[in-house]
Amino acid sequence: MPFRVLLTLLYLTLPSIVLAAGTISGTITDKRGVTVDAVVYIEDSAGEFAPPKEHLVMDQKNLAFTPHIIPILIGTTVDFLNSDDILNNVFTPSWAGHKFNLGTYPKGIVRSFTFDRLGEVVILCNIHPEMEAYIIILSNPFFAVTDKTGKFTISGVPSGRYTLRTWHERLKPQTKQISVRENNTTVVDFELIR
Amino acid sequence: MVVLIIGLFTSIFLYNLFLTEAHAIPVFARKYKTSCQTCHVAFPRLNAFGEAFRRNGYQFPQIDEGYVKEEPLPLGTPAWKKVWPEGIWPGQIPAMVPIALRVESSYRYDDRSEVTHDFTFPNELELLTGGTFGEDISFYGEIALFEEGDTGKVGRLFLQFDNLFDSKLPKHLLNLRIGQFEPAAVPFPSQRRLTFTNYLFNSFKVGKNNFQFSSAQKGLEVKGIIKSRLEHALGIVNGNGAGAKDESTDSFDNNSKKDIYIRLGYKIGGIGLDGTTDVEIEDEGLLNQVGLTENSIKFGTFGYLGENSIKYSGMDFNDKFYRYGFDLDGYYQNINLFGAILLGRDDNPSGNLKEVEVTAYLVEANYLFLPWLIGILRYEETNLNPGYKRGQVIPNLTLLIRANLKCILEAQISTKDDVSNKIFAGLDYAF
Repeated sequence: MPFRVLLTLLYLTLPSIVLAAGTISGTITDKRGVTVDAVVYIEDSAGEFAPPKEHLVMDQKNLAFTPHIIPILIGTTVDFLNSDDILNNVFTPSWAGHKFNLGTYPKGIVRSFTFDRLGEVVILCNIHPEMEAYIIILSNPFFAVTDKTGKFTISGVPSGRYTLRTWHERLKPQTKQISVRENNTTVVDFELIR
Repeated sequence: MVVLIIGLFTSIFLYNLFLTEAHAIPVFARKYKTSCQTCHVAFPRLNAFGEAFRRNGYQFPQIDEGYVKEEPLPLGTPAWKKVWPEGIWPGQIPAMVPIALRVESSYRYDDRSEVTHDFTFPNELELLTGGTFGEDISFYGEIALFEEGDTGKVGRLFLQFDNLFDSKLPKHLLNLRIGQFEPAAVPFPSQRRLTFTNYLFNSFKVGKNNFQFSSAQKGLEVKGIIKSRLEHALGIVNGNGAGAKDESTDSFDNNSKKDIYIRLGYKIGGIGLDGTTDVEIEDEGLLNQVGLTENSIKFGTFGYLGENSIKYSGMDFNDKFYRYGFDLDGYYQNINLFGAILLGRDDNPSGNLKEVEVTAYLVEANYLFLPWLIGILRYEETNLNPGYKRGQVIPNLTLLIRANLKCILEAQISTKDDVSNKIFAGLDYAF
């Protein structure tokens, strides 16, 4: 009975928790203009977060990994699909990815990997050296990737003071101290350099 | 001196190995924005996918369109197909002029030559071109701008009509090649070898007949693949190589007779000859590459029937000849082992009405120590009876400094005492 009460209370308070959350948004630029495919994430959020049950998908199509960048919560499983008519391979030399090699496989085959270490994992194909992608494994779900206009939005961030950090495959990371207040949008822009 | 020069090359290699990335890429690499390694173990030797790409007229084997990253220039919109035959069928040409260059340079040591040490920087400068005029019409060209002192020699230059009658016949069954090319009868063409030293197997001549098995020939060839595994080819060519026109006869051929040849081959294991990929490779390390990791074996047989008219020292005579043989090309893990045996006969190669029997064979092993480090060992022998017997052993170490730049260390050891031994240290690059 006490459990049911607790559950009911949780359901009743959930909307207010969401409402109490704030949003972080902004634009990332570099010397050339807007920065696409930069990851922005909160570095120091307390708490434990369960990874999503649904698998994320990284496809191989026309000799390219898509999407090129995927930030994920630690414990997330990614399915690596080959949609090309030719053989492709998936491997990583990165420690955070256990240096896996999922093999070389034809169209329609999917092989999966669960990422259980924090860090950056570069994904490569050992028969097509031009193919490259990144998976960034993070400790909390408060992250976003910049779109074609360099913009990002992180929603549902609990109120508090945080360190916001960037990651980009070629540009140096930057951090900024920010405050997030309930029902407010905190605007943070970055200008990254090599 | 030899040690000093090989040391110099090794130093250059190690220096370059850890420097900036290479940006130079030839024609197909530009078109598809893909690395040389997609098709080559190390250029110019093709891997299994590269063979399928070549057989399919320099197009990706299934649907080429999605892989092309450099948009071609349309010669008419696709809707013009509906207008045909009242209008011209629409085609395409490459948006950028499809030209690449290959440069081969070496230091050569020869223990019997008057010039023992020789720098050949460059030994060869070659212009390469290739591409498609829309779907299923391909072209390929290879012109030696400079080769061992000669200039402007066309090696291969041909058009290929791919997948003929594919509305009625299976795809890949029939392709037609027209132009100057190496006959498909040749199991291991000289143009795709990794070593400086040419295959003796392909390049020997009998008597005064200048015919060489792997020479580019002018003619027609029908070839294709049946059910992904069986290759066939049938060709008709002039038979006297790619020489200049004879002004006295106003012709390129030296007689009216045409040479004919045939080839059949069958592949077991690995990806299909047409690039079909129903195999899965469980990789354990990073070394694996398609072409050297697929476990496969290909058997082939070939035959060539020719006749050449020969003019020598005031004599004018005909030499009828034939060649036939068997070849085998196997991949296991990181080893590629291939070989061939060739038998033949010339009925009058020296104008003295004496027949010459020909026996030649070669066996070569390529071992991929690392994706950029390949060890090669070849043994081959050619016997002409009556005539000479010649054999050679070729150890070679090929180091890919970049995908398009390689360093080659090689020895050419003759099995006969009266033939010189050579050492090569060289650089070969394409862009």
